[in-house]
Amino acid sequence: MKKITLLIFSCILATMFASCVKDDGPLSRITSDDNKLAGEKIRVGENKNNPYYKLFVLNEGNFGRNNSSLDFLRFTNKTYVRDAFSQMNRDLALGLGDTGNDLQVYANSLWAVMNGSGLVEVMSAVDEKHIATIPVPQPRFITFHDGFAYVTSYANINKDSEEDLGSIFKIDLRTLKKVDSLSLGYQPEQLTVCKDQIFVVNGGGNHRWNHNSYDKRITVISAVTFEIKKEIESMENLKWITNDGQNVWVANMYDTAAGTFGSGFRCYNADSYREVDLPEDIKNLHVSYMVAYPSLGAIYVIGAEQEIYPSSGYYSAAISMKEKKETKYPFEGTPAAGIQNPYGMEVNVYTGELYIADAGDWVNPGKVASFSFDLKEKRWEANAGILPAHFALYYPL
Amino acid sequence: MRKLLTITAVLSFCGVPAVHAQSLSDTLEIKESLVSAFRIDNTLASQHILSDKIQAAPNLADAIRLFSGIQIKDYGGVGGLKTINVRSLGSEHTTVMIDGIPVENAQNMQVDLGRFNTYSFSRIELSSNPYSGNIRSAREMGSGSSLNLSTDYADLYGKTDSFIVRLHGGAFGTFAPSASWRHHGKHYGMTLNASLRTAHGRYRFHETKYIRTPEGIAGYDTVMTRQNCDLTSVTLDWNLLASTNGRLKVKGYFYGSGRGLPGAVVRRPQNAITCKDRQDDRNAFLQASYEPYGLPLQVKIQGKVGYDYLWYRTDPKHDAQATPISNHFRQTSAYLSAAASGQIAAGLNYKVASDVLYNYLDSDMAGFAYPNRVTTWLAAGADYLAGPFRVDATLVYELARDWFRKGSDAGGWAVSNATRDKVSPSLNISWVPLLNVLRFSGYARRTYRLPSFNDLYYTMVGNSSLVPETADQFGLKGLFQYRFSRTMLSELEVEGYHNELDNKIVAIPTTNLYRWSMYNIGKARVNGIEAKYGLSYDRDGFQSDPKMDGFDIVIKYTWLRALDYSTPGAITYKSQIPYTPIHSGSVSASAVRKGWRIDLNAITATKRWYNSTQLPEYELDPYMTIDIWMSKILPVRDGNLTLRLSLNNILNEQYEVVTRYPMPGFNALGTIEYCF
Repeated sequence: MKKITLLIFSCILATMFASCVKDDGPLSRITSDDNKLAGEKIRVGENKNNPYYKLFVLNEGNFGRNNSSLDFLRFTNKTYVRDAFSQMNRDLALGLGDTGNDLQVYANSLWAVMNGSGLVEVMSAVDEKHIATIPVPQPRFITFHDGFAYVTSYANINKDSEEDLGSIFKIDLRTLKKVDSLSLGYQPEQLTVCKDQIFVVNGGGNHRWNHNSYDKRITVISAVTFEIKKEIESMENLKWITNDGQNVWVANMYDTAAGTFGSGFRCYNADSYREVDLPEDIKNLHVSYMVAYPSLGAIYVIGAEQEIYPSSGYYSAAISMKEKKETKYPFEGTPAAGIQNPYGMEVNVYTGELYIADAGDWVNPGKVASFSFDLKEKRWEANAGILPAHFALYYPL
Repeated sequence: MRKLLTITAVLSFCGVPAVHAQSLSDTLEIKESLVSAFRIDNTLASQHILSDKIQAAPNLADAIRLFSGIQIKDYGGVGGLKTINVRSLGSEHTTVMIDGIPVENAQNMQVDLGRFNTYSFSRIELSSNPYSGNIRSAREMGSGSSLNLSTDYADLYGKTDSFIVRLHGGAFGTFAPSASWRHHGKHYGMTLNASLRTAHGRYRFHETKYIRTPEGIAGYDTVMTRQNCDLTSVTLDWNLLASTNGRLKVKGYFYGSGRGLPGAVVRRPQNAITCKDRQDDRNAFLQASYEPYGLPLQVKIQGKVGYDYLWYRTDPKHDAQATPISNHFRQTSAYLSAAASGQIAAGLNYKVASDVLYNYLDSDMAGFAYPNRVTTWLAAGADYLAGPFRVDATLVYELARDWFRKGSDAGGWAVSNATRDKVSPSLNISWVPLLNVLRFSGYARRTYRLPSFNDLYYTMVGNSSLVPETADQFGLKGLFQYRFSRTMLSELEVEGYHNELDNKIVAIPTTNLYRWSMYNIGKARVNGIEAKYGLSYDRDGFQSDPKMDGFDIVIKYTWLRALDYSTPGAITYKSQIPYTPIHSGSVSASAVRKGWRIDLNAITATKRWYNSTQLPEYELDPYMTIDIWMSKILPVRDGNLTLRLSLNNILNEQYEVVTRYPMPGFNALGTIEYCF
C-alpha cells in the first residue's frame, strides 16, 4: 500500500520540478513585514524539496469568544508565529473574529472563512495584512474557480422558503464583492468544482435538531450559468467533497445525534451523476477530517475506529482515487499516539510530511505537530491557539 | 409566642450585645422610632445583609456581590443573567431559597438573581456551612451552600393599612414604577406588591486591545454600544404571615418578562452587528410553611407548587447569523418538606427531616425526552452542647429517580441509568473559649449536585448516564471580637477552606462546535482563605440592631486557588479554573445619621482566565468598581418620602466578568419612594 503513496509523491516531485522553479534560495530572499514578529523556533529539519514558504494554521477558537487566530510556520527561518493576523493588523478592532471554519490560499492571498463572524477575511499571504472583508452570513467552506470564489453558507437567502435552507455565494475576485447567490439544501458544507460544475454537499446537521432528519443531497450547479442542474441523493450528514477530474467523492460525518451510522465515502460520476462503486473498506472508512489533492487524485483523512465520544482508534489514511485503494496508518504504537484530539490535518506532498492539529480539550490551546507520512517519526511540534483545525500551504507566485 | 415576630431571624452566634430576638413589644418600640431613619447592621463580618442595605442597592445582585468568597457570574446589563457561585463549587451547588424554600430550576439549576426586586426582601443570608440553629429542611442540610432571601412580611402593629409607591429609573432607559399595600389584622399581616420594569438596556463600552511592541504600544480602542438588551418585566407577589396556634407563611409569586439577548461581542460586518435573539419567561409559584407552637418539639412543614415557562427564539429574518430556533420549555414542580427537632437530654438535641420534590420538563424540541424526576431527601442529625464545645452531625440520604422517553418516537418511558442516590454526611464543631470575644469552628462535609435536565436530556447534547457531581468541603474559622468602648467595636474573622470536586460535569463538543455533550470528567481542588475585618461605631452604644446613628467599615479579602486536576499531563493540569481570581477583595462602608444613609462599596478582583491555561492571551483584566449609594428620608405630611440615588461604577471601569460580555461603565439610578 505504501507504494501508492510513493507513487503519488514521485508524480508530484516530477510535476514540481517541471512546473515550479522555486527553491530555498529565492524563498529565503522574500522580505515580509511579519519577519519582525516574535515566534517559537521549530526544528523543522532539513526541509529539503519543500517549495513552500509558509504553513498557515487557522485556530477555530470557541463559538462566541471571538478568539479565532491565525498562526504560521515560516519554513525559511523555521519560526512558528502565533496570532499573526492580530499582530499585523493591530488597529483592526476585534481581530480575526469568531469561529473560523475554512482557510485557503488563492494566488498570493489568504482567505479565512469566519463562520461566527459572518464574513470572509481576505489578507495577504506574504505578510497577513488585511486586504478586504466580505460579509457572508454563516459561511462554511470556500473554493475558487475561473475568476470567482464560491462560499457555502448556512444562512437562508430566500425569506419565503423554509428558514433553515442554506445557500452559496459567488464572489468576484477582481472586485472582492458578492455578485450572486443561490438557495441550497440544509446546512451546505464543502464544495468542489469538476467539469465546470460546482458540487455542494448538504449536511443537515442543524435540521436534524428540529426536524429529526439530515439532508442527503449533493447539489450540482453550473459554474457557467450559476443555476442548479441536478440534485444527487447520497448519504445522511454529508460534510466533505472532492473530485479526481472524472468523479466526485463525498464523505459524511457519523450520526452525531443517535450514533446509528458511521462515516464513510461514496463516489459519483460527474457527467452521469450515477454512483460509482467503491470497495467496502473505502465506503466504511471513517472520516473526521479530510484534505484532497484533485490533480494528484489523492485524498488524505484522519478518522477514528470508534467515532462516538470518547473516540478511540485514531488513524490517518491515504486514498488513491484512481485505483480506489486506501492505506491506513493507525496512531497506536507511533509517536502520534500522544495526540489527544486530532481535529485537522494537512499533507505536504513534497516532503512527505503530515501536519496534524491536536485540539486538546477544545477550550484550551492546542498543538500542531508534524509526522512522517507513516507516522513513525515525529518531526516537530508547536503550541497553537484554541482549536487548531485548518491548514493552508503557501508558496509565493 | 415570644419569638413569633422576629422578622430579622436569630443569628447562630453574635458577640454584639444587641437585641436579636426581639419580642413583640420590642419590635413595636424600635420600629416606631425607626420609621423615619435608616439603620445599619451591627454584625459586621457575618454573611448576611439586612433590608436597608438591600434597598440601597440598585438591584439584588449588586447587594449580593458584597459577600466574600463568591463570584457573581454576570453577563452585564439589565437583562443579563446573574448567578452566584460560592467558593468555586459552581453555581449549581448553591441552593437559592426564598424563606427557606428552594427556587426551583431543574432545567439548568441556575437562578437568575437579576430578577428579584430589592424591596421585597428584608434579609439575604449566605451560608456555606449547614448549621445555623434554626430548623432546616433535609434539602437545605444536604446542599453545598445556600443563599436565603427572606421576604419582608408585614408587621402586626401600626396602621392597619399602609401603602408605598415607588418610581425607579435612570440609566439604561430604566422606568420602573411599583406599589405595595401592607395590611394587618390582629393575627395576620399581608403585603401585596406589584411592579413593572422597562428598559432599553443599551450602554456604551470600550472594546480595547493594546499590544506592546518594540516600537511602542499599538492597538485599538473602539466605542461600541450594547444592542438588543431591552427588558420588560412584571412582578406580582402576595405574602401572608399569620400566627394563631403556629406561624404560617404563604407566598404567591408571578414574574413575567420579555428580553433581548445581546449575545457575545464578536467581530461582525458593519451592517449586521446585532444579535436578535429573544427570551420570554413566566415564573409562578405558591409556597407555604407552617410551624405549630406548643408542641414538645419544633416542627416545620413546607410546600410549594411552581410553574416556569421559557421561550427562546432567534430571528433569522433580521439576523443572518442566527440559526433558526424557537423552543418552548415548560417546567412544573411540586415540593413538600417536613422537619422536626427536639431535645433528647440536656444539651443533646436531635433533628429529622424529609423532603420530596417532583419536577417535569416539557418542550417542543424535536426528539425531546420529557424528563420527570422525583427526588427524596431523608435527613437525621444530632447536636451536643457541652460547655464551650458544640458538636453537630447530620446525615442526608438523597434519592433521585428519573423517567424519560428514549429517542424521537414516544416508545414508552425509560428509567435506565436514571436512579441516582447518594449520602451526604456532615460534621460541625465549634469551640468558644471566651464568650463574645473568641470563637473557633470547623466543618467537614460531602455534598452532591444532581445533573440537571439539560445535562441529561437536552436533545443531542444531554448524556443520560451522568452521575452526580461530588463536593467534599472542609473549613476552619476563627472569630475575634473586641470592644474598644461603649460605642466602638471591631471584629476579625479568618476562615480557611479546602474543597474537592469530583465527577465534575463538563461540556465537550463531540464533532463540531454545534454538538456539545456532557461528561463527568472534571476534577478540581480548591483552597481558599477569607479574611474580614470590620469596625463599627454606634452613638447609641449598640442598643438597637440595626443601628440608627453610626458607621460601619468592612474590609474583606479572599485568596482562592482553584486548580484543575482533570487531565494529568495536559496544559491545564493544576492551573486555575476559569473565571476565578486568585485575589479579590472589597471595602464596604456605610454611615447613617439623621435620616441620611450613605454606602460606599469598592470591589476588586485580580486577573482571571476564561480557560484553564493562565496564559496572557486568555486573560480577563483585573478590575475595581466603586459604587456610591445615597438615601434620605423626609417626613412629608403623614408619610415618609425617601429619595435614593445610586452612582454605580463611578470610575467608569471597563471590565468583563464573562468573556465577551462587557459590563456597563458609570451609571446612575434614582428612586423616589413615598410611604403612607
